[in-house]
Amino acid sequence: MITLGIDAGTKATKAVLTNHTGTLASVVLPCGRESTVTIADLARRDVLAKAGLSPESVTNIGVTGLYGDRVSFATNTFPEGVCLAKAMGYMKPSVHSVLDVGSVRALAIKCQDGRLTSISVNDRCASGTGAFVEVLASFFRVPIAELGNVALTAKEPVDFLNTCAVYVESEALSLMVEGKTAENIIAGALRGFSSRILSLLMSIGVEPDIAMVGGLANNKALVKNIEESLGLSLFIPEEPQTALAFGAALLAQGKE
Amino acid sequence: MSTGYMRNLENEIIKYQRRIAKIKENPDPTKLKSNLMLYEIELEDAIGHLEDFKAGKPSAYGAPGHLLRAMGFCGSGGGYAAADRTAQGEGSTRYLDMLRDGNWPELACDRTVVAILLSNSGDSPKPQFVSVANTSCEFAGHTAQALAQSGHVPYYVVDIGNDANDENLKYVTDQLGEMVEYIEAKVPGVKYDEDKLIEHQHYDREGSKILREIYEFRKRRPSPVGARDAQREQGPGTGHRNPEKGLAYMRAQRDELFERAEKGTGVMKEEKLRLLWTTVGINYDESIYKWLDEQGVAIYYVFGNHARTLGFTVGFYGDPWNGRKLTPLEEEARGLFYNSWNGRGQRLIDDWMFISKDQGVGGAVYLLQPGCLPTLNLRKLFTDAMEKAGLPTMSLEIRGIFKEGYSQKDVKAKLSNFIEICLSKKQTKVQAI
Repeated sequence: MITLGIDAGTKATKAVLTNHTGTLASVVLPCGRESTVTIADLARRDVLAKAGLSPESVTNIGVTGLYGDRVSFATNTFPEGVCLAKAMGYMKPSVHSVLDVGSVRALAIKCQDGRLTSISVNDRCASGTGAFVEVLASFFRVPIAELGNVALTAKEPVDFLNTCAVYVESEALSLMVEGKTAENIIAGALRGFSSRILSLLMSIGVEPDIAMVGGLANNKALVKNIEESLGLSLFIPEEPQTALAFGAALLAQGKE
Repeated sequence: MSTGYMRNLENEIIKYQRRIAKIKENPDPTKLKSNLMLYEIELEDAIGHLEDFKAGKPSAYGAPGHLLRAMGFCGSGGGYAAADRTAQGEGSTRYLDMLRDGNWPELACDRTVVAILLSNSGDSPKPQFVSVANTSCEFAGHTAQALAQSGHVPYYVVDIGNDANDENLKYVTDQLGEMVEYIEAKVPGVKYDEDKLIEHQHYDREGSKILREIYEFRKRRPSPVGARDAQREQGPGTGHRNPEKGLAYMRAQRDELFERAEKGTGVMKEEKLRLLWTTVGINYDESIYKWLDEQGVAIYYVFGNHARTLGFTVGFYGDPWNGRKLTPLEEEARGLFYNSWNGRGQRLIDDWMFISKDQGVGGAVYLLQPGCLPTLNLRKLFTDAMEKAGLPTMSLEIRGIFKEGYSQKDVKAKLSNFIEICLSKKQTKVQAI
């Protein structure tokens, strides 16, 4: 059985095709200003083309993500935590805690054998979501994907005192006026950010192994900060951004 | 005496008339048929209260309710239930705006502070007397004090000891006696009528018995009652102007649930999960409850010490105290001892745990109502007790009346994840057996 999983997020829509052997193809499309259903449909077409399959070959379409309920062609909708647990149970069953930092909300889950056992969600404060990092990247005109690498070059990371995402720019500007370098400011800001998202994980109790997914899992400085704080290595999947979509596709396999 | 223009009561009358007409024209099969009776009683209450207030009859805000009614006070329109009802209309924004305009504490519990706003705006009548018991619900005390001070009316605080013993029973009963004398001296037109108090206590006892029968039917699977209707059974239903009708409604509800339980019918074909829902309801969004019904999730709602109301933990009105029958005033004193927010928090936790186990819930949704100091502080005790029992708890930061900041989408997402966690635990338990 071939199933499609779609994670309809705020900044990107992710699509993964699976069968009993695992992932067949995956795509990540930035959302831009198109409607969720348009982007999701584009993602569906792209991923099918990538795998060389026709739409008829897909049995079920499982959808998740903040805007999952808007994808009208879905056959099933699944909660994000449930998808994450399912994906991790398949990718690395020894993982019992997962951190997923999205653009407007962050999740920390605990899981066992592919099932969700506990969850904590931050959807209230941007200081602990990807929005904080986006503002930082925008201020320094550094691509988000490069932000971690820039931070790793820092010699003396600053104490970035403001936690509120709204004040990132003014705090960064003040530090620059004081003569601090961009890489030291970025490293300091990311260090503070790491401790905030880590507190989300702490709130449900950390149980190794620990994984991190979502686009920010590609940020090497962030991952390094978290690993140093925990004293443990994180498991980062090969395509951390598509983990939720993969989970949705796996769950859709169980739905006739 | 100023009673304002009573916009709130007028709105309630229109609301109940509309609901009654809607049910008669197009009944919702998922809701209880007896709701029609409840709305008719509440319509009668609202019309009667409005007439009383227009005629200048005195009203009171506070506790004990039976005692104040036995003195001849008419309904004040205050209290949690009246405040909750404002959430279904314009109140979800109107009173929050007033709160900010008036520089009242924004993070006070909305279920208490709305009473001040109702009264000060003239939406509800101003009380001629205010009383409060000094429990851990500090905002109830502050609200009563603010109502009394802003309305320049007599105010009485009943000091309740922690322990339910003979010494404290006398201490609290003496205060109630003093309060009665104080009211008679300060408020013209009211007088203590012991026969009336006995009558109210009788109705309460009868109503509690029916409530207990309903509780037993509620154990059946699938739940004979939907998530929205599950929130209707918090009291014995006899606080209405016509308590006989209140009892008749309770009996009709019981019979309807009995019929559903016997036939195995309810609002859902299969009950996948039962959750304890505590501290406050989402009063401005009924559709979230319909959604829970659709998910096959039944709710057992508890506010305060529900097990006490049902007589599981201490006696009903009329039950003996240390082998003797209590006087009517002593009965009221005993009732205050077991006020939800009085005494040690552990008692409330024990009540909720008793119901959780007895009703076979698979988890609990704990709403964190901003400003509700007792429940915010009790969360840890409750989640620890639930965890020990192998049951997960989800905390949800939501206001009961003010809709601002509420996202149904987010709440559904959180509940969906939580339901899965509970089902997963349930499955693990079944596998272990």
